[in-house]
Amino acid sequence: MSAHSHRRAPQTHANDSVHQGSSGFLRRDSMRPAYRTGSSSEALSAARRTQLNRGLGLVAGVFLTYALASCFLPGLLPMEVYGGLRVGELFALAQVLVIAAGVLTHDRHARRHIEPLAARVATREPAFHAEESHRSGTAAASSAPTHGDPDADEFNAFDSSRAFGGRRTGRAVRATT
Amino acid sequence: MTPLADEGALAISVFLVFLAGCLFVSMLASPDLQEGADDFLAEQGNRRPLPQGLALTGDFISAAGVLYFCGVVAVGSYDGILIVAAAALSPLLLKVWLAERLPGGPGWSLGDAVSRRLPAGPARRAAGVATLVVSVPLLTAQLIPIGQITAALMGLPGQLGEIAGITLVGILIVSCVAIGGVRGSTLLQIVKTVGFLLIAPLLCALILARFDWDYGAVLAQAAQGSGVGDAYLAPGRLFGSDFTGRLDTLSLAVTVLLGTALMPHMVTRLSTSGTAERARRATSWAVAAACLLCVSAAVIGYGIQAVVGAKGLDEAGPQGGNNLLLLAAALDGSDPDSPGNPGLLLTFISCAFFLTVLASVSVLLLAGSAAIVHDMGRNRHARPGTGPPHRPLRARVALVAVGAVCIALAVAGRGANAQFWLTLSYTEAATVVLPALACALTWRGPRGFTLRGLRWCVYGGTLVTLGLLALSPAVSGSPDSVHPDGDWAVFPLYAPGLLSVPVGFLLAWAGTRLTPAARANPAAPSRPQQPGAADDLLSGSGTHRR
Repeated sequence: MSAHSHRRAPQTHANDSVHQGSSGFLRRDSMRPAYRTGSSSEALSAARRTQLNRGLGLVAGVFLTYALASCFLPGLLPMEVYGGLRVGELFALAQVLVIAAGVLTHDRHARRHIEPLAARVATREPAFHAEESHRSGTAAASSAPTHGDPDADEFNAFDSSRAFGGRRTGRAVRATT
Repeated sequence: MTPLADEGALAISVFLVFLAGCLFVSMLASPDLQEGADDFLAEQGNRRPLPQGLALTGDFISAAGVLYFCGVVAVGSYDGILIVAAAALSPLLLKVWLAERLPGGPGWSLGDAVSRRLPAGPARRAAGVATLVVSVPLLTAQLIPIGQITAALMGLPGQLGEIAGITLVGILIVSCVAIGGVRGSTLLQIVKTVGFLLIAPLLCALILARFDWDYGAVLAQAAQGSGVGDAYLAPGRLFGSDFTGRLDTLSLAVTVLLGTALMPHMVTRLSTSGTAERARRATSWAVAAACLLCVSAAVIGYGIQAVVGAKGLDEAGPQGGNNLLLLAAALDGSDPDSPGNPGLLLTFISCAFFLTVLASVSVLLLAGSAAIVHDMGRNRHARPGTGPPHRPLRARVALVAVGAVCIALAVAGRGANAQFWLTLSYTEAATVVLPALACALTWRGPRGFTLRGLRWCVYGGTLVTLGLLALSPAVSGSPDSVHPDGDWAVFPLYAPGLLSVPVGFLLAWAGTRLTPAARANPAAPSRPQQPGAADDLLSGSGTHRR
């Protein structure tokens, strides 16, 4: 490493040396503060928590607005707004639009934040996962599934070599032995 | 039911040909008995997101559910729209909360999804019980209307005719499913969803066309037809507008929101997705399709009230049981050129209804069979993904047993309000399946969800649900309850969801907190050896898990 980066290293204090390689990605100013840690897995769980909270908030908000209006403000909904349309129908249409927006936002957030983070977390331990696939491959060849195996069996969707390759068929083969 | 029985021999023959076609398709789609591929109960392969999303939507719309939503809008106006809106939000809830966390390896049942971090045997048994308690009432709710329609269509008279109709159709459907397995049922779900996505807007268009494309006129005619005038268009029609009634409506809406999309068969379908991305995309498609169908259901509901009127709806059963067929009969009968011809629209809708019921019943039967064979059977102690493959014969026998129980229940309970079965099923799903699954998938860590929490949640939640429903006016004390003569209704709400769902979450939390520390997480010792083991496809390394 050059002397330049040695001088810079003490200033970035939230950093341990293991993650210096990944910190550049996770320190972009455009990302939210929760993601700008040095650890991909913490960033990942923060991202997922954000997504979950936002999603639940959206569902609860939409539902409660309509439910409470309908149950406790009975005069609001049958008010005529335009021709034959009433507030109630407009609420329903607005709800459909909000649901559509929610779905699109959820997917976009997932594509933009969660999947890169998950991919980084997965590729951090390629040796371990490679050993897993080797082990499950040999386990498939053997006749009886071992009980120590299954907890290590978790396959990783973001590693395409295993998504299309040995692990899936390994598991399917094992299911038929 | 006389308007239906007049439709003549052509309708019956079309219907019978259709039934034969369904049997044939299921035979074509059935898994090879000799091949040994383990997909009688749940498909383990990867599907593309769009077909899976369509199948998921098909799972979501059960036949009885369709009737129920249209009926509830027809009778309940704005309350009905609240219920339908809650139903439209339910897949979104599934998507946001659970969809990404479910794929994680082969899964054949709810038990597989729940028992990833818990000891497999007892956890699976609890999940199997929950699956059965959710699926059996829903199955019964589907069989009753189709039996009645078959009896009417074939002209079988009276009580004996209804029994015969239900039994006949029940046996036929069970055979289709037992032959076809999950591949047949997935195909049927996709066909059903595509059919609905085409027919529902078509029906809306027909209704609107009848009123010259003026939606306000539909509402005005509905208000007039309901016999109450403008009061129809105010909230509070479903259960009355006093405080109990409003609380009841809110409770039913909460139950529908939390229960409709969290059924075990949908969970199983999502957990067999290959990747989290696929599950996410599939649920996106499902949310879109469900929204479209719910909007159509609302319009159709108003249309039914407008076209058929309150008296006709009363005949169709409380809260509009067989309303869709009345609508079809009415729309047909108003055609000037078909007084003597059998109604094409009616036959078409009967066939579509049969297909719908077949598809819905098939996934429910498969879920029930998986619950018995996979979750409560001999191999339940195996970790998810290991364990010998299912013997198709055993699965089929379990399926036929569940089917027989449901046919018996349908025959015995055919006079009762079909919505009671639906309410039971949704309440159970919201009270038991949602807390159990949500806690099992998201509550991680050394003091995370434990087996005792799961047990308290499932068994306690089931007891609470059944108890509250038994004490509610839905079972006794009102003219359209299961036992109209008895009067032991103590609990005032028809739908106990508002009380039972928090109780379910509370039981799960309390059970977990009160687990003796020494026995917490008995699977924990194996964890430190596999630091990279992922819980689901997105959690990556397990460094923050313990």
